[in-house]
Amino acid sequence: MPILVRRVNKPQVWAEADEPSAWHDGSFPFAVLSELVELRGSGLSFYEISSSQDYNLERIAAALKFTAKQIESIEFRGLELARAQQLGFDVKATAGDTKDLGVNGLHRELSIPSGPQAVSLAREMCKLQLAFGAHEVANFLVNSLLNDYLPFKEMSKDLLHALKQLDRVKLVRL
Amino acid sequence: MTTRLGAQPVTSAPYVFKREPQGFSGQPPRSGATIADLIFFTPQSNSAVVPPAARSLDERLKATYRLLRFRDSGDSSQEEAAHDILYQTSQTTLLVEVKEFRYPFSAALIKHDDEFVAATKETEHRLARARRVAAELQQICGPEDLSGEEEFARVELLVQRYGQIAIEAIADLLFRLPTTSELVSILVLVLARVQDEETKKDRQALLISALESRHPSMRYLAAAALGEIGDFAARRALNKRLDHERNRSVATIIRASLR
Repeated sequence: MPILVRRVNKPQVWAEADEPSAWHDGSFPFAVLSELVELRGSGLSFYEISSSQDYNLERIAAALKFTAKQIESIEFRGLELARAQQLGFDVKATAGDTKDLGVNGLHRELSIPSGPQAVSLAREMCKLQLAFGAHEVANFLVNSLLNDYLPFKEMSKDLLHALKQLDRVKLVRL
Repeated sequence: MTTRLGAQPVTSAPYVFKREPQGFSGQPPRSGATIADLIFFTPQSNSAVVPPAARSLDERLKATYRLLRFRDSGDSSQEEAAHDILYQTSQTTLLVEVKEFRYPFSAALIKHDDEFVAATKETEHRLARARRVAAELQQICGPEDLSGEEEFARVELLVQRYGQIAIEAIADLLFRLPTTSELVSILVLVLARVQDEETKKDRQALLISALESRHPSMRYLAAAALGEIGDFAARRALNKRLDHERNRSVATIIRASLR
């Protein structure tokens, strides 16, 4: 069953939304709506993977963190593609803008949601959480670099330094 | 079996205070502590996260006074009772209260012990610095239109310049801000990432305290930050929290940080 996953900007907001009391008696964790706003593009940015165990998710995580200066944890929230369509979203395949061309091919855009749609989407996305710690992200980055999914020459010195700090790379003089 | 002369029996239990209040992880002052020891006894966990004192200021001051009087009299039960009350708050907080509220007992205390005078001066100096750092931190985190990166860099610089005092100021601010605020995540990240060996223990202790916060968002950030540090102490704290973490989201990031 294909799954759509979206990178979370403020995971702490979703942690609050995961409290049952946040949804109790008709209340709604309004802060998560800020996570469903897209400043660029014509819709909400997601990536399609085959399942929550799909290896491509690791590659997506690496591609999204490739431009960062620090290596930190990453979290995705998601829902089944069929469920998104049931909620009335149009799902379009569009080109992503990461440095990994393979990952860009997995990019999808959901049409901009109405208020009720956004609430339903947030509720669905609360059910599926996929997170990776900083050390895992470092491993994914190294894997993507070794497999040439990501261009080594475009890596920033900050990221190289961060990988060195985590003992994921060894710098040698040639 | 032979026993060395003067050796203590192995079975003798070390002296422990019977009713050590919850929330204190530091060693309490020894029984014959001077007033300066008592005043500067600060628990390892930051004072901002120590539960508020159960007793009133009045009771604590009376206890201090009694302690001074009974210290030389050899009445250990009275002294222990006075200690019991004093342990319920940070002694630094007590001194601040004495100084700032000009409580009548302060005159008696100061007269009684010259060490108190010296301690007061030192504390005043420290307090002045702490206030300056706190004001600077407020300025950084105030309404100024700084980007996250700029804020991060300036808070990091503050920690490198002022060390432990800056960590205390961050602790104070951290637990007063709304937990979902952007600033909280910046402050937590600084605690995890700043390159400053001297404050490493304090920063880690503060993150471990934050991991026990009642707000899931704060626990989430602390878990991710401790995951970045990833040393033995951080992993032990994460494992401990995972045992009783009920929030699914926080539990997931803890597991991810431990992998």
